[in-house]
Amino acid sequence: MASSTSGSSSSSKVVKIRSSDNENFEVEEAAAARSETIKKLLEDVGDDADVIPLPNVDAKTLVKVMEWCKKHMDDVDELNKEEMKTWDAEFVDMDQSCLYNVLLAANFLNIKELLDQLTQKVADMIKGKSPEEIRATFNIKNDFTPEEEAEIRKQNAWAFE
Amino acid sequence: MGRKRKRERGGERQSALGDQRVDFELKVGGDTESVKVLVTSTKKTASTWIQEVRSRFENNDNLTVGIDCHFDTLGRLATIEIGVSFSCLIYQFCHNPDLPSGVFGFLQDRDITFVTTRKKKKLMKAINHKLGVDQFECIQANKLVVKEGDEPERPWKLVAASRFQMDPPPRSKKNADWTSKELSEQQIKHSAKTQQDDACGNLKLEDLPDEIIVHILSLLPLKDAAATSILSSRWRYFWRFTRLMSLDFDFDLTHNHGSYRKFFDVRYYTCNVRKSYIDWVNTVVDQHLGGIKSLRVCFSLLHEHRIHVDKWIKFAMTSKSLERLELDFSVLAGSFTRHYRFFHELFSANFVGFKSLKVIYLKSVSVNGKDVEYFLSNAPLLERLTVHDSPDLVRLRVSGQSLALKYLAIMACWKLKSVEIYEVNIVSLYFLGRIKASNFTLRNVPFLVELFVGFCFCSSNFKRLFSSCLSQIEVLRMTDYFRLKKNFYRRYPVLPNVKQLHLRLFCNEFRVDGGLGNLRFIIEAFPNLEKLVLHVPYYLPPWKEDFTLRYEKVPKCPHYRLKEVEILEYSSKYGDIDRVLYLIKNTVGLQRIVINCKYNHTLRIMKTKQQLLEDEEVSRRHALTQLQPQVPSNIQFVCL
Repeated sequence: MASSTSGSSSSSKVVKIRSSDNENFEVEEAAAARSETIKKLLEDVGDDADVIPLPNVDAKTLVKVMEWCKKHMDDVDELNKEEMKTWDAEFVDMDQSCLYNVLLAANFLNIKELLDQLTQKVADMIKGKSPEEIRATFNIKNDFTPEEEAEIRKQNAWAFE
Repeated sequence: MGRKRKRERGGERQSALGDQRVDFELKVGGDTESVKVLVTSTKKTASTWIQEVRSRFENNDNLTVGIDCHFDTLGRLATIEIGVSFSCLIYQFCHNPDLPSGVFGFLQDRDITFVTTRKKKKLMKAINHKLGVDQFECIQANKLVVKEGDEPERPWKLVAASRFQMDPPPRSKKNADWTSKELSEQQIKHSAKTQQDDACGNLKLEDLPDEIIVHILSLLPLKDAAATSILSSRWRYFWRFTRLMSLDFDFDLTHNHGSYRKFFDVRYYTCNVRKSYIDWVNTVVDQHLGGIKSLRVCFSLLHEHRIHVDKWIKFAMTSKSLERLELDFSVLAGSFTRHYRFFHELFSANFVGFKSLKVIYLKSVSVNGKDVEYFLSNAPLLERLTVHDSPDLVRLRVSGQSLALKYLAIMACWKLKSVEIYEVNIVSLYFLGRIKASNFTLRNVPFLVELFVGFCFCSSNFKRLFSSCLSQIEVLRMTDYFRLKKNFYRRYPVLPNVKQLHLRLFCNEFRVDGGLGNLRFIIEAFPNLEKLVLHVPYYLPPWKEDFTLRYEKVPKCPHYRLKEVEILEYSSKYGDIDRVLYLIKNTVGLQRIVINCKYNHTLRIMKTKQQLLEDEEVSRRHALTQLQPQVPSNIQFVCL
């Protein structure tokens, strides 16, 4: 008896997605469906879907996102939670530019858990830093005049104690 | 743009002909396989590779081969990739448009199954027309038919399909240069790390859209979020739109009040800083525009500050996402001051905050019974309600099976005349106050398992007050005083179902028995008790620190079920050691003693944090040197 690799068992069903730079990827449906955006598209187009275009995500970012989705495809049991936490911590430990790309992709693809992990990572990078340190870390240019800056400090003095 | 050609190449050897060989690790399923990749534009090298493969798989009558090809930016065929088992050939057609005959023959071999993940049509077109291999046939990977139980190797995965899994040839236009003579290492071995390094362009935090930045700031404490207003003009107002924030206006008295030895000093101090506290809350409330999750105001505030407080509560109530409202105006509010009065009439039911509110905590904020009923009927999700020190609470009625209420705490409302709690699904009740049993109704509370009581206030009619639910109670939290002579023999009611008891004992000045009397009656009253948490708060002002305990003679009374004893705020003074030794002597199966030396810092205004930490250390040393040696070795001893 013959069976098709793409068919029968739903767990190994594969969907095709295309990045903004026209690269096609094949991903297990369960992994791709971590993205609410893809999930919804799949529901809309059904099995006729050939390739799902993702015009906002380039290939390299998509690789990262799908790496995460694959890891988070199945429910995690108690035993693996710690391991997963470590994996997640290592996953979000990337350089800033990449972090923001993946963050934007997670936002567009509507993967809430990934978005939460990434925004938390950025928040942790801000937390406890002085304004000067934050400017340096994130390359933010201070465009206030000294007078304006003094006024803002005065308005919310409690925040700068 | 961004053409990167890194020269440093790991395990790669380069021959004089410009061939590149790279070995790398590929994860297949759970296994890691070593993959060999050969990049060449030399006919001979390619033919040799094909020959090797043919001889290796000579006896394999149905060889599965992965195949893919790539094009340059003008759409011309640049490379063709062939994967067999765990080796891969990348032939650079763009540099040598003369296809090696070995490869030609290989592609035409109808005994070989070629599989691709690329669109079949495009690949066929390239190979049939560009390479001139007109007999070439291939199958798309997802259409491959395999015999059941015959798990084929999947070399096409190697070539292309698993490109996101690991080490695929690069695809991003940004750095893919398939026509370059030497493919860079990234192009051959495209590891996760290198993806990170160059894939993503060069984004900065500032390139993110406003709503994501606001989302990020919403994860910060209020102060950190507001401090970002100084970064630049773009950042100035982000913090005002943060959502689901917990606005926590906590005022830490212990912070710099080591010198305040008397309540009076602290009160004087709080009066001085009150204006700046109120200004602080006002500036935030005036500026903040996003919905909040919780509002917590902890400072000594009175009726005369109602204009501000009313505004704050209204501000909170307009948030659709409000879950928690906590007003603690108690810091040393004396009985002669007038409490802030929280009139429910102030807030029409139109305030959306009620719809999501889960927790209301009011301390030294006055509400009456009507207000409480209003909260209960207008906040459908309300789970926890605490009313602590409300002089206007006279009649309290809590009833209704549809209420979500689970935790109810009514404490120190000394004017309370009648209490009716019935037909509610509460699991936990904290009642601290004096009331006549005839004015106290508690019935039909089938889920109630946890009871907090001030035993000293209701000892004479404890059983009558709680008779309807005593048999359900599993966790009892109780406050009591050390036994004095006159009430030494006042027993606790016998509660056979109680498994856990948290006993908080206050010592009443000098005529004390060290709490051993309490312990003796506990052992008698809770025959099935398994865990006892004992807490004698370390409250005494410094000038009373040198008193000595006078123990009454306490008869022996063994307990058979008690397994664990935990002492909170263990102190080297005030007899903690005597109580532990008494429990060791009078229990049969004790397995574990936990000595917790951490002090609750917020309650203490007589000592600085530093002094308290030193005290903790003294207690810890005392527990380890004085107490531990007296603990039998079969009892686990833990000192925190």
